[in-house]
Amino acid sequence: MDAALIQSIIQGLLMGGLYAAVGLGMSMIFGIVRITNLAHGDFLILACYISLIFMGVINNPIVTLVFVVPIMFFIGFSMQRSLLNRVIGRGDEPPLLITFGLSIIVQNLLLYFFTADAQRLHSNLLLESISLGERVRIPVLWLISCIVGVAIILVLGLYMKNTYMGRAIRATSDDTEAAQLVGVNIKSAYGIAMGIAMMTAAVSGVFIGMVFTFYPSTGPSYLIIAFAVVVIGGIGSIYGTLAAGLIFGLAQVVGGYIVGPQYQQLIGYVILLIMLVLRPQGLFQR
Amino acid sequence: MSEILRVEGIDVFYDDFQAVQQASFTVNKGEIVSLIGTNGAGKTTLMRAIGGVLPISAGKVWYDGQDITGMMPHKIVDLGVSYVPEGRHLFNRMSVKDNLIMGSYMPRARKNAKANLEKVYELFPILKEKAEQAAGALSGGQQQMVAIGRALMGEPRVVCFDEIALGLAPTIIKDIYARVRELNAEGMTLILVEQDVRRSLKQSQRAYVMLKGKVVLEGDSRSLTEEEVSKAYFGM
Repeated sequence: MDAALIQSIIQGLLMGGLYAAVGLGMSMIFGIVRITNLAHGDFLILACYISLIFMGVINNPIVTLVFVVPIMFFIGFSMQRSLLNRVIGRGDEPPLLITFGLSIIVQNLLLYFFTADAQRLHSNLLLESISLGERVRIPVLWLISCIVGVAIILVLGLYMKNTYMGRAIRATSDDTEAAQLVGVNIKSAYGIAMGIAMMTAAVSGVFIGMVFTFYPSTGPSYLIIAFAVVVIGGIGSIYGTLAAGLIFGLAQVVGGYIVGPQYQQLIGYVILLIMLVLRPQGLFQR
Repeated sequence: MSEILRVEGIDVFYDDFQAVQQASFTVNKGEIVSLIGTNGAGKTTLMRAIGGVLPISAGKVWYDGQDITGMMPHKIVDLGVSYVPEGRHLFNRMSVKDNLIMGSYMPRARKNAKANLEKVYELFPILKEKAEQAAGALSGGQQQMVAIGRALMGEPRVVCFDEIALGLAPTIIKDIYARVRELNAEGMTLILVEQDVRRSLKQSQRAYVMLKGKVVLEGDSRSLTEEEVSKAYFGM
């Protein structure tokens, strides 16, 4: 195998780990609260800008996560409690409209406060790489973001399996009424689920902001990635999300290498279309 | 005997349809009361409204001297009133053990969760064998045991069993009712929602009959005759 192909496989897998984390929060909310959060990508970018604010004080994007993650949890929790919980059980359209509205609001607030300039969360790690043989190099930042992406998924999986709150969130998604009958306050369970989803958006957002440039209107392109990951992985399946992220990242980067880099995005969506035709319930839907 | 639950003239609506009209009944501490009626008589609606899952449009529900009308379901369970729903409503994708653990979700029940889990396994030994299996994969009788066990994990004082025997084999029904009597003998107050007149009268101390959303007959299970109850049951 030639070195460039190996290079793109590695890059695809690393990208995939981060994609999985991008889709994770979306998948959770889809599966548990049964809301399609059209603002997921915009919250990801919002996390980038929050990190940018703290970058003024701490010159290391990874360290800003200490602040960005709790802030995003709070935003998610309050958004669910004050807005989305009001329309739960009234059909699919109201929450869809609310999240669509939030998407527009977040984009325009960002535009107002930060202008339309392209931004990046500067990190010294961006140019570092580990070399494997002569022509194969692993970019360190991509490696770290992939590891972090996979780690969030594993930690969330353990949380959902082993804690009372994690079980309560799963129980609520299984049977809402039964969850209430064992004493779960479902509105607060939904709030915490949304808060956790926003925490995953915060972490994946900051890494996205370190690897790529972003501006206020970048959100929707990550929403589409999140969508793809959710569809391929199967709604609400945590480990399915991981596999789907890796598949999607690999398809994009390796496909781009074979057919031509200008087709990279297109190839990802062709894979998505094929999945929708062949296995619309996703690879891992239970 | 002192009263633990009192329902005073409650009305429950599904949109425009009134499913329960002016229903009243009382349950005393330590007794088994049955609520008898055909499919659609409003028994389940009444119980779900008491549990806070459905809104009550008129009337009051008192539990142990406290007004619990319109409280959120999780608060009512926390006070000690538990409802084992018709059709069991298990968390099908979760393991048997996780279903039972969810029963002890309330902070006051968590500290005894381990001991209570052992008690449930003692009551239904088969559940210990099946602990790691998905609840949805169990047989109907075993699922009913999980539903009962899950309610017990919350250390309730009053439990309502809704159609506990529905769709189960006669030997399993017999076994489950034997467990129910054991629970009552230990001091738990029970409400049995049933369609089977003979079984309800046999298993309870007092009975209420519902027809078209109203409570139409009440009395001592021993002094009520099957004929009397059947008449009220069918509205003859």
